[in-house]
Amino acid sequence: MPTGSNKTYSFKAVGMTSTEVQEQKTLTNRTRYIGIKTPIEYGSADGLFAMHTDALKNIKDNFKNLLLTNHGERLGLYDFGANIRPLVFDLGKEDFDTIAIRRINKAIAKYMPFIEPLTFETINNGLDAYGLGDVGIRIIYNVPLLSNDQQGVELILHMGG
Amino acid sequence: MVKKIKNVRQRNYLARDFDGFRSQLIEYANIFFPDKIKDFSEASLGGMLVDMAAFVGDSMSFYMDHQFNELDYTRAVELTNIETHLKNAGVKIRGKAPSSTTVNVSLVVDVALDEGQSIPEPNQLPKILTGTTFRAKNGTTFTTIEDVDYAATDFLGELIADVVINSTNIDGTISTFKITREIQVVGGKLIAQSFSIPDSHTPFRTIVLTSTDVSSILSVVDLNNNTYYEVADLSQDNVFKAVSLGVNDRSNASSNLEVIPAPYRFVQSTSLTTRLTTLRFGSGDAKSIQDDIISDPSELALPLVGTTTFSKFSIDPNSLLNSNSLGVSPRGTTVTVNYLAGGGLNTNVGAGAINQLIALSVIFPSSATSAQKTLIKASLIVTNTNPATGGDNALSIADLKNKISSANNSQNRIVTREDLLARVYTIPSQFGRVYRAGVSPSPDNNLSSDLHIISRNSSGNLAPASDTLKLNLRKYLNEFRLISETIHIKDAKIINFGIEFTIRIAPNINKIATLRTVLINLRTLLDVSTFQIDEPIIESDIIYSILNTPGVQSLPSLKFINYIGEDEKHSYSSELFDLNASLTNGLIVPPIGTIFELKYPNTNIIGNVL
Repeated sequence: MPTGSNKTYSFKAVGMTSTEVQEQKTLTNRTRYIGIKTPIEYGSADGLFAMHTDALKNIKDNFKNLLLTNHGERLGLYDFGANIRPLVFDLGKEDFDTIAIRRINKAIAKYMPFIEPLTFETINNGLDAYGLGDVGIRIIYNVPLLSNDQQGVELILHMGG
Repeated sequence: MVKKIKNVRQRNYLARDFDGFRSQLIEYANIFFPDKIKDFSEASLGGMLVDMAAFVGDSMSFYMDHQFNELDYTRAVELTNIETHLKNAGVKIRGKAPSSTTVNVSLVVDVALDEGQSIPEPNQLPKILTGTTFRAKNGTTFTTIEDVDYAATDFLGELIADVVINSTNIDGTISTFKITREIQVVGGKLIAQSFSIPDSHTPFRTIVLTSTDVSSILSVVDLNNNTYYEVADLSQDNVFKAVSLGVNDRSNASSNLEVIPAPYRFVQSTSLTTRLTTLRFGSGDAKSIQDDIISDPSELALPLVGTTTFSKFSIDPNSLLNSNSLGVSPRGTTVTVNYLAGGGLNTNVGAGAINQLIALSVIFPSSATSAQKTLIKASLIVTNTNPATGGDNALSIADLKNKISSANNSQNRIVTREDLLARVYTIPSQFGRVYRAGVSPSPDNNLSSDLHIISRNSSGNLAPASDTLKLNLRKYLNEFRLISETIHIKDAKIINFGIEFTIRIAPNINKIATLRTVLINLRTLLDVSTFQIDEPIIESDIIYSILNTPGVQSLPSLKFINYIGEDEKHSYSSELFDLNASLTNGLIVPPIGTIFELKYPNTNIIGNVL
């Protein structure tokens, strides 16, 4: 308990100078660049590369790259990626879905654990222009730390062999 | 005036590996570019770029460490760098080492009469040449590395070869003799390889021998009979050459040592990776040899241009000795290289294993008939009484690296007493064998040293070194001594001595057996091999040896005897020395340049039992 000449202040009672308020406004209004957009493209006057300013879009971009990367492709991180490409030879097999889900889950758990995958869906697109079979993968996820809005990415796999 | 502060950004040089570089880069970006990018997670493109930069840093850090390690021969791992370290230290890379031994080669020759004495027919005594090959039971090939003349005689004029009667006629007269000589052989093959050299000048031309494990290069000769000599480095412009005396003298010197100029020379090197041997010749043009190979020290005098003063300067004295060319590089000729190749542990074979002739290279006196030659060749028997030893596999990289430290201590100059003794003992045996050598300051000159040497005769007893050996030694040492150093080569004096002692043996102990044990111990202790020049006799060693023999109770008397002159069976030196009077503090110290020898152990040690 405060006694004698002791003084107690509340943090809320301490204000800001007008200069500080102005600086804070400037910082708040400034565009916050998060990550580099892919595919890489020239940016505006703010930087060399075009940048993401929305965290969800940035995460989607990273997730897309994670799905499109195969083991051994990333320098220094040999197991980075969902490693889906080898599965294009197994598109017609019964356990394709299981294997693909397992690989994607494993990659998410290790490299993007803040993503919560919700559904995995395969779409048969029939034959492409070259007469090869196409299989689409649609993944629905959300990022609970940022929003409950569901996000989705879709991959088209051309059958190999 | 306000000094403008340079915009220096904080740097950190402590990061050395991938994780360190990555965290430093991200920290740097977060501090200086927080408003430009934030996402450096592994899944992001920013993270990937940082990873790549960190990877480059990690790789450079690794190679910097690697290169630093390669500077030290103990940590170097790259073969080319190890090879360079070995070359810099002067360590020769060799392949497998061949074993060596001597074989007894016997031939049967007819008898001849010389002043009524039966002797081997001189016209049938051949010379077996270098390159004769024999086979051991395990298939290993052995090659002779010296020409051996069966007609060679010693300094007394008697055949060096061992001569025994092989067969007699019905009337008892000798029909044939079997003559035997020891020949040095090594486990390996003698190979002659020719190289056609184009008629264009190539400085430091190299040729590579096709065989691995080359143990010795015997000769390199071109079409004009120019002999190319192997040198340690191409700036060495003379070599030692053995000139055969024809006979062995009492120091076993069969050759005179000569120092000859070597304008045609080469250095040998062996690759650590391929184990192939390369010969590298000099840089001089063989077509303009006269202008190139003879060094002219006066050409080094420097002209003073536009000035009358000059400062002190450093100079390499070798530049006065060298020609510009560093030897001749052959051109427009064919160079033939004779070398020995092969070796390894499998070339070590036991006594009696070498028993088959493969190829005989021999010349006979011109008067020998074809039939006689055929018969003598057919009579050849070979065997080895001693096992062939010394064969070994090629030194491993670790072994070679260990040799660098010892090679760093070696030098090409005689500076210390140990240097001098090492040089004396390493003179090649064909120039004579020094059995013991001692160095002492010269009493006449402070800048001189006395080198006392002694050899052994055929009976194994000490004998003064021959003049041939001393002359050879003079030429040999002269190439290594300091210019101000004078070395007097002198014969060491021999003091022949013996001992007489009396012992008391414990009761119930066999006196004869105990005395015999004492005598055997003393013979071992006082063997000539245990003495060096100027080494004293230690009385307590003798007392200890006697009293330590089981059964000996006491040693009532021990005295030393100096043997001189000759009697019917024994021959001693003429050195008179009162050993008992010289016994001081338990030591009998010989005069400078003297060695003790107990010459006849069976008679020079006299033991009495009470």
